[in-house]
Amino acid sequence: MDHVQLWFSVVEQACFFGLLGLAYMLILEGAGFFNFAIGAYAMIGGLAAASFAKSMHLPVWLAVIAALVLAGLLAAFTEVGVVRPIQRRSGGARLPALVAVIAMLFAITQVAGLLFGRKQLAGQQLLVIDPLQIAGAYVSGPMIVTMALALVSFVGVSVWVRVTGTGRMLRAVGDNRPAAQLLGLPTSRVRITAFVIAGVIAAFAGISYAAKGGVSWDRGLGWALLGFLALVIGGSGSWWAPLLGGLILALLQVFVPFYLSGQFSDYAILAIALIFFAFRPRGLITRQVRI
Amino acid sequence: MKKPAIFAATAVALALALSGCADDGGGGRVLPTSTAAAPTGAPILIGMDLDKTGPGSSYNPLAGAAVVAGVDEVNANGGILGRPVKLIEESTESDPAKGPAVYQSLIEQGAVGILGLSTASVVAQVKPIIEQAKVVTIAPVAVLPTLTDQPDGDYVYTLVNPVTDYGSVFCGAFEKAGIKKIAYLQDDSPAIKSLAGPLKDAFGKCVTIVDDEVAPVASTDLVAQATRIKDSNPDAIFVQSVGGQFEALAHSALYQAMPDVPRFSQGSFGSQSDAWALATPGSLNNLVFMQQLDLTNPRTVDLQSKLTAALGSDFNMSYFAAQGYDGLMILLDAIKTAGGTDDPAAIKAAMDATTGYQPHVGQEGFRMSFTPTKHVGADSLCGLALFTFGADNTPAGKWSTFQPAC
Amino acid sequence: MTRVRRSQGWGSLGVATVLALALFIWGGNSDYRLGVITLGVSYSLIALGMYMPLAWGGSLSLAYGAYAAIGAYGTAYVAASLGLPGWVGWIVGPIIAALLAIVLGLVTSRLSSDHLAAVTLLFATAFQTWLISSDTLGGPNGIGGVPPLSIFGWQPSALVLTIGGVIVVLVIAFAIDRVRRSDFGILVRALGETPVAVEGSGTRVPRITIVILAIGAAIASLGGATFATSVRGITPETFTVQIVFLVLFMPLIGGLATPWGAVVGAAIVVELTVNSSIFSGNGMFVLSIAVLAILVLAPQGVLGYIANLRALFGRARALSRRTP
Repeated sequence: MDHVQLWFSVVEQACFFGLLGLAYMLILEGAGFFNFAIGAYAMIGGLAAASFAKSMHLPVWLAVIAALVLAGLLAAFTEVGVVRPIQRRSGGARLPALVAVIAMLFAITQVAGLLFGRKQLAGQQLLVIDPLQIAGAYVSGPMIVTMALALVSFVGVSVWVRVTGTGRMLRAVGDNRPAAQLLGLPTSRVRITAFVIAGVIAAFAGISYAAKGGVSWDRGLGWALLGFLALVIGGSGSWWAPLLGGLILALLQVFVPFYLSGQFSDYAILAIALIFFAFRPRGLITRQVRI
Repeated sequence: MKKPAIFAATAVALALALSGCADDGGGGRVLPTSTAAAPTGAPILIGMDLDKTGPGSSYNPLAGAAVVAGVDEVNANGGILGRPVKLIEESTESDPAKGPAVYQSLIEQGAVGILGLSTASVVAQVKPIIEQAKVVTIAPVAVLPTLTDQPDGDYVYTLVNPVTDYGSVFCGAFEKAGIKKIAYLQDDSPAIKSLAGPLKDAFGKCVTIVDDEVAPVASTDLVAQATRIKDSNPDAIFVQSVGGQFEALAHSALYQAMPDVPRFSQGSFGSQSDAWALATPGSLNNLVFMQQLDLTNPRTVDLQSKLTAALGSDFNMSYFAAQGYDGLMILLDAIKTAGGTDDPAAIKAAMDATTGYQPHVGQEGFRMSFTPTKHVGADSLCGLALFTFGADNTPAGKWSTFQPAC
Repeated sequence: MTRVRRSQGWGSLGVATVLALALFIWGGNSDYRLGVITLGVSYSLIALGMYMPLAWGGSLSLAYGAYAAIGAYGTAYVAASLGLPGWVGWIVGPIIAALLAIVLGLVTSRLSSDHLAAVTLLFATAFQTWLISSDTLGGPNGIGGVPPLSIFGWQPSALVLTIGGVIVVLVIAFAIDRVRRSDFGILVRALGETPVAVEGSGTRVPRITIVILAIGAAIASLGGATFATSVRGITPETFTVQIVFLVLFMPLIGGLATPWGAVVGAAIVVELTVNSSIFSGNGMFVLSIAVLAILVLAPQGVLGYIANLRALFGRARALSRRTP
């Protein structure tokens, strides 16, 4: 424990990857597929908030809200305008929807480059404080925001799926849509809700993480992969599983450069993905009974 | 069928709206500065590969605008050999796969010289094409020292100081500042990787590298590297990167871990005013960085006012602009010396005979020359200068401790 | 009936050959146009490599940028660094690419297409990192100075080389088309649609999927080899992770029904992003919106639409013949 700063760094990244994983999981539960456009929602959140605040001179809170609304709309459009018509036609097959969200990821990236420019922008500081000193390490404002956001999101989502009607229906709709429709469940509404919540969580994660070192238009793909891995490694047995997956990824991201070299980061991520896919494809936390 | 129709309409409208507003590389007009006779005859065609999208689009348009302004200026002053100069503009979008087709297009449209305002990897990929077509190609903003190497290097030229010069400059700086042990932090981009090897070799002759860190250019966190550097207890830290988010993260993390250890920076960070704000406030204080633009050079100041007049008041002087302008002028000088555009060998010979060109980058005494075996323009170390940042994360002026000599 | 179906493959080949001839009348005496055609050939081969697993196996592999790089580096390394004839690289590259595809396919064989997509993307990223840091392969500079292709002393000109590339595309597209119509092709396609039924009939699903992934990787690496042979050099940033999106869109734009869709898609992409300047550098953006629109509105792609129009025209003619 000599290097407290490293552990704070691990926690911050774990929260970010975990949040992206949580966004994936909402859509996986509600619509039954992995939405790779999550990375693009996170990127557009951070980039739009920064751009609105910088070029339109909006106050930070307004820029953030505008960016969240934009990401939420994009997520809703992904479902209504792209995924739903394609799934309706293909009878719910996996591949067409996967291709569609990858095309969506690519399209959002291109639109972002065109609208907000191809330069890196500084993220927006939501909490402007002097770094706190804890056990010889610094805890910065963005770090606190990311952790708080993770806490609120994970608690919020786990409460939402237990307490609200829409939340309880989420899993039923994702597991078997025709059956859910037969039962008279409002599948469309449930799915759109899942998409919008996922989009907003991802965008907020992007905004808070961008405060650390900026954001640029081409970050969507990398973030999409990290979020996907957080979910696959963590498993989908519990709503908290993506956080565990995020933690493992973050440990890798911090300690591989520390003990080996930063050159090995890409290889380490590929290796952990191969190991999990081959030996533990359902992740660490799995549901025992799935009805 | 309703929703798809709405989708189509939205998509088409969006596409049209956005493709119209994305032209960010264009330039303005230059007023004629003299009343020279308007040039006549067949235009001299200069090809320009200008990135508008892709990784190179964050800096190449700055150089491209200066090239456009330079061509207007030359034409307003009577052209070259009494003939007007005309730019043919294409774009590889920083994609080496498109490079060969785009450069062949420039060559077939009759370009007698090409300015490659793209990433170094695009120029590297088209070197065989250039060699076969025998068209002088200058990559004014490229910093890759191996770009002009053989094979296929006969017609390729760059302007700025090679990386061995960086080694001499920083070794001088380290000696003056009494630094014996340095930690090295670099990103893993191709451009930086090709610079880092020779630079580390040069550093090995004057200091001990006690820690050598490489991190992915898209890193989201550099605390691990900073901690390792702290453990190695260096006298100073040397950061080499393509700049942007990577370097901002690096200085934030290094400042947090060891605020009192001096830091040096080599790369594009010193010219990226957008990126300075990405770093933690105060973290850039006293950071020493090297760059080619020196606003105490009167030629640079002249060019700045000329370009501001041509391109409007929101023009920001950068070394990219100065290098683009110099690339054009050196090429046109060679064509003038060659006496025409019919013989590619004559243009190449004139390029190789260029001596004492007075560039708009570097310190006042800086000159550029080429020979058949020296295709990197810089003649001396003073194409480079050292600057420091102030407490407000913006450059505060030249570094008082050491400057490279001419 | 079977014979009629088989002969349809020749029809497509005939049309494609005529179009290819037209292409050379357009571009035969211009190095630039030959360069455009070469790029189209490279993209076509990568897209054809992606086509089979995508359209038949329901497998989305996204490592095709890496496979193309393997083909390109294979021939460049063999010719420039080892001094062997370049065509040796044409054999070595595809074998390496196919082996890698088998490994990646085996790891994800029990998982969904999402896992394959993710692991292949991660592989492509790591592979590019490795290329940049590999001293043997020229590191960040790549490999230049590749000697012109020489086949037992005969050096084909740029025109002959490009014609050769186009013929390779025609032959491979035709071959895939024939396989598609064969019993094996019907089995593979059934697999993409109803894997459980095929498994029930005694054929192991993963094995077939992995075979077509391997063949696809080999074809894609030929695309890279064509490029490096024609341009006589390669850099680690030429075939990147990003190129795979472009290549994924080609079969979708052209239409997934036949392999010719991948070739048509490649031609459209090259026209939009290189040859035509109407979108002035925004070709990628226009393309991304166009692909979304095609996915939602016209899932059969361009060739599907042409086929529909032809059917419509045929029906109208039949109708007019019947009515006096």
